Amino acid sequence: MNNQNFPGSSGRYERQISLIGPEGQKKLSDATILIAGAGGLGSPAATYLALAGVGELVIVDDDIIQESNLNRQFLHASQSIGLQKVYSAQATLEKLQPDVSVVAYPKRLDAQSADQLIKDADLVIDALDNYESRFILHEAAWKAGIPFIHGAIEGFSGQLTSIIPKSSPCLSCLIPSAPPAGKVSVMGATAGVIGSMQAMEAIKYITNSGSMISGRLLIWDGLSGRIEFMKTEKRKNCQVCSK
Amino acid sequence: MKITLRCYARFRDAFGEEQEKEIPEGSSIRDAVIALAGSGPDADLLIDAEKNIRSYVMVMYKDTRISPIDADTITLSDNDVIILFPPVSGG
Repeated sequence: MNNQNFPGSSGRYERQISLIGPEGQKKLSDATILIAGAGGLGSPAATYLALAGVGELVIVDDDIIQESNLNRQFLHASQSIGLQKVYSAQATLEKLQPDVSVVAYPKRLDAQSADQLIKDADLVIDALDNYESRFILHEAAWKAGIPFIHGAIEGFSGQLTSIIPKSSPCLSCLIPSAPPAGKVSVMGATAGVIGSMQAMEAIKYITNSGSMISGRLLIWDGLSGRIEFMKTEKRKNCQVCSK
Repeated sequence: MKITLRCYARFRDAFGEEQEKEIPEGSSIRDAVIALAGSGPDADLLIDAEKNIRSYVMVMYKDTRISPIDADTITLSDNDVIILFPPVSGG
């Protein structure tokens, strides 16, 4: 197998095939990844996954683009204000990487749609902005045995963990109840750091490279430059994974 | 004894990045968090009216998450470090 075996790949993947091998590149090409959220985290995660050669990205988001999104959501341009985010994301990604198939789903997640969307996915990227939807999607992924790459951001800080069914504690073990909601301020680069790490986790999982940030929560503080890893354990009587 | 409490995200905004506290020998993690919370308007972020650590607060001690329910059962030693982090939600 060589570089010519992948669609449109006249050198496109040259700098990464030396890292993951042609087999790894084929795995990316064969993969379908569900990205929930086409905002701050979804922008870097979807972009890097498309550029890495993931075959199909399914993007779900019911939001429309507002001017206040544009400090971080680089899938969307100024002239796209008022459009559905998923269609703007689809257009941007297909322009960047014509080989990727982008499926746009402009609906809010509920239990039924989560089950449906997860059915054909190899992995889920949690780029959502609220815990209600996160818990719904996470439970569907857990039940289906599909990895769920959780990320969340606020201000100059972010968190990330990879939930691997049957292997790691689940998201509800880690966060049993949603923290108080509020209007979230965020620096665009914070989304860039955590969203890129989510893409990296996905690539590692699909290509079986390195070790996952699993069973531990990465806490990133941009103001001090500190990264902490917090070990997490299964919670007794967890409503999701103890069932 | 002296312990250090390190805060992230909105806890950092309220209590600063790092605070050293002098607390009595035999104090628990809960005692340390109560000492950090103080009696100001931001105390409510960390503890409830009964001075229990709020359920959403992530408490990290020796690299491991400590459930707020167990925070009273762990006795601290001199120079221990406790990290406090609120789960963030934005995307």
